[in-house]
Amino acid sequence: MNILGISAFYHDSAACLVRDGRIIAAAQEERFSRRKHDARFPINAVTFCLREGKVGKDGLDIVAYYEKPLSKFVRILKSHFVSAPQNWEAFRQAIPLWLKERLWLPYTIEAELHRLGYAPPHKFVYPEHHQSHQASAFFPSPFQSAAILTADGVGEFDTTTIGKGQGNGVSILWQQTFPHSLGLLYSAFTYYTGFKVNSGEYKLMGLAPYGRPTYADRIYHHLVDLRPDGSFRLNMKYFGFLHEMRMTNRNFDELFGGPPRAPESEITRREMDLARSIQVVTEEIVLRMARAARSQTDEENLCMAGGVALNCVANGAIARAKIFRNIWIQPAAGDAGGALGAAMFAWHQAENQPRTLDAGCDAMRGSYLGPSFRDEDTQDFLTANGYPFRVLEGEGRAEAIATQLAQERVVGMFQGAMEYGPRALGNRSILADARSATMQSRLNLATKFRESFRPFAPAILEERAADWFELDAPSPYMLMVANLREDRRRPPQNDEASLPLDQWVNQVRSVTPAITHVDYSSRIQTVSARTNPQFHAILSAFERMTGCPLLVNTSFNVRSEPIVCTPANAYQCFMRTGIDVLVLNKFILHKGEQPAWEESIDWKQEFGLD
Amino acid sequence: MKDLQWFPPILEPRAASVRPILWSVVAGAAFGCLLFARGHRILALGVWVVTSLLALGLSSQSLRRHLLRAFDWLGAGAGRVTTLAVLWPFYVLVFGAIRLALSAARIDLLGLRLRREQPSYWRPAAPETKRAKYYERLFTVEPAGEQSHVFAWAIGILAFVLLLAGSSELILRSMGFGNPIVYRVDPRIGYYPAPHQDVHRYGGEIHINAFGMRCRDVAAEKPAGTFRILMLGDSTLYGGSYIDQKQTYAARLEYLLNQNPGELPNSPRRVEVLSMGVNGWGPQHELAYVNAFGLFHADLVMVMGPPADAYRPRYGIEHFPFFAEGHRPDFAWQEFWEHLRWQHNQRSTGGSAGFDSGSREGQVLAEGVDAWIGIATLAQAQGSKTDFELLPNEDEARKGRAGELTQLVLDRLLPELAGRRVSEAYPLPLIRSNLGVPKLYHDGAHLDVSGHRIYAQYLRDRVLQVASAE
Repeated sequence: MNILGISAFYHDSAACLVRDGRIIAAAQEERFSRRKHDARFPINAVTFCLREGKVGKDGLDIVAYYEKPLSKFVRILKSHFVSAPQNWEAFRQAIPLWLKERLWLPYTIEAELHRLGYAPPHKFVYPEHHQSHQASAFFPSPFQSAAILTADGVGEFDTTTIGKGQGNGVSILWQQTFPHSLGLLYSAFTYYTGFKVNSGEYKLMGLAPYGRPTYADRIYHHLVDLRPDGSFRLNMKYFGFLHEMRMTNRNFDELFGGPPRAPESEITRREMDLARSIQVVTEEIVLRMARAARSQTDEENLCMAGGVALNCVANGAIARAKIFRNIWIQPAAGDAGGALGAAMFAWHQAENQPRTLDAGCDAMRGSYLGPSFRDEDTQDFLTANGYPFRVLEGEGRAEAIATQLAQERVVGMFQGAMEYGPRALGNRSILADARSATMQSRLNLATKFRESFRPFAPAILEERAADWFELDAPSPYMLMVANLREDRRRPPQNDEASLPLDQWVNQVRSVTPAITHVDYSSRIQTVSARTNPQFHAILSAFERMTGCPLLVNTSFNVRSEPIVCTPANAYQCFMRTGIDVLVLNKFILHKGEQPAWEESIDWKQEFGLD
Repeated sequence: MKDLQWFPPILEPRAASVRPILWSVVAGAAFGCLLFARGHRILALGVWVVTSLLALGLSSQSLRRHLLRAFDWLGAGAGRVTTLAVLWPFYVLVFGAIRLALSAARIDLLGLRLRREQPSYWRPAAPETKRAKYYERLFTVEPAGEQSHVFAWAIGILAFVLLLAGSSELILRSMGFGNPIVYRVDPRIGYYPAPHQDVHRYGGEIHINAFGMRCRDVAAEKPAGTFRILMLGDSTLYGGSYIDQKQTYAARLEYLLNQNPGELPNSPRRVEVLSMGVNGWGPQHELAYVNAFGLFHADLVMVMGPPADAYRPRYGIEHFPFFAEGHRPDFAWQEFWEHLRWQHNQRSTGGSAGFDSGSREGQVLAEGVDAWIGIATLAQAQGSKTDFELLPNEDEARKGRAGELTQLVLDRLLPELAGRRVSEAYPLPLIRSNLGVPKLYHDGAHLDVSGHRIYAQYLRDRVLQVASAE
């Protein structure tokens, strides 16, 4: 049975094909359309999934959409019942779209499938938004049963749920509803500190270690009425998203001493402290929720999904608190993962099909579910354009790449199937030597063209993770933050907090300064030979050469651009940036050997700021 | 950089469809036919020219692009207009009313209130067995609220209904409903406008004086040096709510005659025109009125209106969507509803019994003509001159001859008037020659602004002619 899961129309559209309970393919639309957070119907992702799965024109059995449009519409109407007539602008933008398109979702999907030459499916299934998150968290996990915690901005009504997964079923036990949302609370601070909502949250997370939690008490006292069990209500007197087109309002400004930071302007101590404060509050809320989930379900395992589950620092706090024995987080924890969750829900829950667990392994296949490219096609591309390349084959490939990295060259790595989710996990990555003291600034300013304060994350051999980090479980999807072990740290040379931000970030704090944040934390990817043997081989070769089993692993893109998808995207990014070497499957290209790169457009303007 | 086709071509959004243009062509052609059938030939031609150009434009690739862009622009513009004209008022009024109602009922629809005494904000979710019924539906069970949603929805619906009633009341009032002239029920006359009314309707002002006339206040006794004309008639004399009092032909006639009153016999200093036209009146109402109120010492009595009025018996107010004195409607929609009901009755019964009954012969016609003759006799007995001005309708003017029913009245009435040496006129050529004038008729029977103006000019000459005749 072929089940196509779709998420669309809010942000991060995606598609996923599940066949008889096995994930065949999954991808986000933005990778194909090259529009970040593309919210349109994922026609290209759907095309890819159906072709990858070789689904016949009449072969689609079920289409599962990741939420219930009518319920969401009712919630929107209710929001306007309590905010009219102030919120006219939001009403004006939303209602015509709903009336014209979103309420007719089954027809839209059928029309798009028809455009691709596919017959309508036999059935449509519409799990609730948080059911899709639950399903994406539990069904691919390695657990027979688990507590499930989902938290995001908002689905239909729910913003946070505690549930349980058992066998082939998930159920929501407790819920919190709009507008009391941890995701929206975090997004409000994202907005206030001058970052873009729905894409800048992880920047706020990265800024937090630079600050002090001086505003935490103010947040607890004025903004959030928090209960011991993690449930809370927001004091809507301070938030604008119900009545206006902004996340915060004047009361919020007065509370925190001024208007929001203008985007791209200087980041001051206030923003750092706000980032730290909201991070502390978020962690506290999530910890309490996790404890509540434990007490309500009495489960040893925890599964998480929803946009808040991308807060790796909070995830690390849950792990350290040892509330649960095991934690598994869906790598595509945001709305893109809803497509996968909806498909899995349709198979297991709606069709009542059993789960087959694979001895401690999850079903995500390393989250390498996107398109891959044959060597022949890649060579054709390079030859057609006259791009000089060399061939790396066999065991020598890993050694050659590791040599380049050891010489402090920045390597763009393009191999295998594309990752599904926001993180690059070695197949669409920029790799670099984490030991270099200048690598962080070099990557931020000359390669990624992004804010200098942002840290980089390491990829490390799974079997060596515990030697370097205070981590006692695998973290294959870069969703856990853990601290560098004390024996790897170096004490700060001066009073860092008094330094300007760009100097503070460049202080050497460990033997691997490029991936060590100011508080010695890192967002870790553990690489296993089983899920990504090629990447594992590169790391092993690098360790043999240098004694260091980890590398900087950052996504293969520049700021505001989606992660590269095709060899052409990769070559373009390679030539536009400070990447020294490009590896396309078995081909290696050196920057100095390439023809001059000319473009008629200013590519930096091509992608809006995020 | 040459790229390969890694995937099937990346699909862009569907190209703009020519369907809206095709539909416009079809609708335009049909609309043109309708205009042609209704006699608006030039307008129909114009519409056909436009639709033909659209159809031609579709056949050319480059023109089609421009057309699609134009339609996009029009569509966006229409969308903006619709948004402002429909969506915004709807949002402000309906949603605003619901918010007020919820606030008044202290219903916390989204659970916004902080309840610090509550140990937990977690809500129990609906059991999965219940949710399972909705797996294939586009909606689900709503989370359990803190208050009954039924009550909240009831308040909301009530607010919506009230708001709908309120806004429709405003709209109807802006259209002129809600403030009608009320009528005095009189057993002698039937009914007539209640005295001393001033109302503003959608066409302008209406003033009813002490005697139920739509004209300015006058004394029962004719002032010295005044030439007084008493006009009796129906709605064609009254003028309707669509026309301001000053624009009625009676008021215009008074104005025109007062430009040079010396032209009239005995060179009066001023002229008064008393306009006693009442919606739905026939000859029997008119005769009953003059029997009750007298002729006001009029120098000239003019009976006005279509000849077919002779078929009207002296029926009461209940045949019309009128409101009696003391029963003025409280709401505009009351009046609107009465009109709708009356129109429905008209359609379903073919007109109220006795109203334009279509009877070719019979007692009603005879009584009607007799009543008119009665007025003429009364006027002559009191020394007033009399004149009958019989107004053709638009159809008769187009055909250039009286209709069948009109002819029957003329055949009976005119010999009687001639025998009594009462002047009369049926100015078919006048109306026919002015058919091209815009706003001549309002609805084929009643004159519009231009018609009143032209008719007043004609009546001025008629008054001078009749008044001067021996």
